[in-house]
Amino acid sequence: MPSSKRRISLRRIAAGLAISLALASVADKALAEDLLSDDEFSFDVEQNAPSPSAWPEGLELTAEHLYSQGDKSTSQRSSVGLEFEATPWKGGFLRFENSYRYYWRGDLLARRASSDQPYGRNKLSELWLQQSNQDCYIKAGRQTLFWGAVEGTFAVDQVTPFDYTESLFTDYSNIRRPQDMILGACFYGQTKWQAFVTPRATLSRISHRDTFAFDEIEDAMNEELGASFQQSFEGLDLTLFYARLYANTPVTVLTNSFPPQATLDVARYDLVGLSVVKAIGRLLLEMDLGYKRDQIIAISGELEDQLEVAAGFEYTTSGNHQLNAGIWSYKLDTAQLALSSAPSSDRVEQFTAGWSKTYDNDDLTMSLLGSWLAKHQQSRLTVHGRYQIDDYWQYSAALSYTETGDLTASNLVADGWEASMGVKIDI
Amino acid sequence: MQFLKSAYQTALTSLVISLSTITFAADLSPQEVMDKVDQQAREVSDATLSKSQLSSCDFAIKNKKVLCTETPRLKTIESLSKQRGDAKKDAQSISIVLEPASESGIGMLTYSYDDSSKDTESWLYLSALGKVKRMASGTGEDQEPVSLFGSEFTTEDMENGKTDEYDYKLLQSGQYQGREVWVIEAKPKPVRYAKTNYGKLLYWIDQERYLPLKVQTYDKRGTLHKRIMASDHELINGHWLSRDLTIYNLKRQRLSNMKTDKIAVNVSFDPDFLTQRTLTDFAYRERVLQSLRNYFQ
Repeated sequence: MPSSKRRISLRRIAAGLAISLALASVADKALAEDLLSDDEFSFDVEQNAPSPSAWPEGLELTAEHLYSQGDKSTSQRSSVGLEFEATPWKGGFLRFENSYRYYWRGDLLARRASSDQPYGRNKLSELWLQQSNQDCYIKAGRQTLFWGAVEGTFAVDQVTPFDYTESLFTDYSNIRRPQDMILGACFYGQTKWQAFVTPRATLSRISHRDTFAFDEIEDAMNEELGASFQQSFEGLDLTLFYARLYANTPVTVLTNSFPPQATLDVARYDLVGLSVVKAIGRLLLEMDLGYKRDQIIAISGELEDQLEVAAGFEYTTSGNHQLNAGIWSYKLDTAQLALSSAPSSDRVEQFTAGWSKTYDNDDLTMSLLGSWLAKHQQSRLTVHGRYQIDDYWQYSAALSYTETGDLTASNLVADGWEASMGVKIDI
Repeated sequence: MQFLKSAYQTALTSLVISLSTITFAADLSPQEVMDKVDQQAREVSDATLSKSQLSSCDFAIKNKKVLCTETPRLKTIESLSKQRGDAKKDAQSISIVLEPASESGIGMLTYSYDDSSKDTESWLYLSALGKVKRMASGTGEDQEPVSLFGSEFTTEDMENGKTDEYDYKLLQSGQYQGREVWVIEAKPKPVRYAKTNYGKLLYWIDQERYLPLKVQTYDKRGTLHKRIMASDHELINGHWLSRDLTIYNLKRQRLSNMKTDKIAVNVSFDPDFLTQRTLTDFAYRERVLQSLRNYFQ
């Protein structure tokens, strides 16, 4: 390239760069001015503030309607509930929760009565007073007690019986039958001691009507008591349990008389349990181990010690999907379920797996839950969605598919598809 | 060539002079300024009880005024926090939802550590089950930031103590809303880049109070994503804090306002309060909180 042309070219480049730098400088200055200028809009907090609630503090009112349609059954229920919390004095705390549920005509529980008559039932879920002093508290009244770590398994979670009249679609707390109990706990740093006494034990509830056989057994049942000890370490919780309990469900036993007569009997047994929860990063490993003495085998009435083991994990992915899976190994009383004429119990493994994730700033919660009882080809898959439309209204929907396999289909669990919908208002 | 060199030198020199002028005026490097801001934020949350209202809504702008276009969603949360460790960079906190009724009673206890190799420990009190459940959250940094109580604030927007994971540059200093500020740009270092949703942040820092008056976050394409405006500044126990924070998510046209209704700073309480006991022993919790609420400002 001739030197004159090169000079012209270099001058052009230099001039271009100078202009660019000048422009950049101007742009930089403009940007700088922008950064300190007033904002183009402002938010008036007072004008946009939500109006203050006139609702009394500590009082909560709920109303709910659930509808479920399956291949072979229908559920249609409405309920209203009232909750109240208060601090009556320094160191004291009172909680009350009561609901009234109405079972409409056609509901599977209304139909279970011969005349298919709708009916209503009241349920006092919680009415307890807690008194705290130094390192301990005592809590007396109607309440529930949950033990164990692995979700959806009951290797040690044996204290509070179940309420099978409740739809699984409702809150988890509703599917238990609360008991009158005195519960005490003491805390020393990361150590927790707990003990309970239930003056009169109760059975799981499977129906509201024709319960005289169960009532008779309950009348003969006495107290239950137990204790637990928990020690927490960094990333690890260890809990030991002991309880003297009644089984939550009676079994059918044939008498030695001739001809033999069928009676209902309930086991009185000792439970020794261990729970371990270990957090490793976003992985949570869980294990429950329960050793139950003197379990009654149906028909024969023989006593047998049983070991139940449950293990599982929960994992949160980097995208905040919650995954979980578990296995629960326990003895299934095949004679009670009329699967076998031989008086025996059969060790089975039940597998569970689940997924859940929240979307739209936690307003939408989607979940998927599957369970599978391998030996008896029983399986159930449920997809569930819950949408919080505002601070009060909540809609939910679920779709389930169940195969009961060679286990007897009951009024509570039937083969085939089932779609459920619910609406709830919480004030 | 000489001309070219000279042009570059002139431009560079003027740039260096102008930056140096700002830097010297500040008397602190941008990193030091942000460290000081961060330290104040941690000191404010040391032994602090607060009751905050978190409201969220879709918004529209009319006559330069922001208006909620729907009834705001409201959460009321009471929190107690304490900084731990030699450098007070570890934190323990408990948060309890008071409103709405459907979430009332849900409580969360969290231990977080400055040491990035240590997992955050958290326990959640599930009011429906009446039991405490340990949660697995890892270090909290190896997963996507999550919404804070369903608001537009995320865990990333509220965290402290990560100033060493950003490169800071002073863009300008001057008056903003009647206060002398530094405008500081923060760009995530490679160690931070994978963990963050943001490609860049701009901070408007009050030069006297070391308090951010405004923060803008940009996505990794450089588009303005969120704007956080702070107001109602107050000096409490020698520390400046903003009682009112509004975050605008400009992509979703949704805002959240966090209003600290009541706050008590530097309160002394039983160290065992920040343990699992507090999640289940309501009588104990209310007894301790009631005594601390007397210090609310």
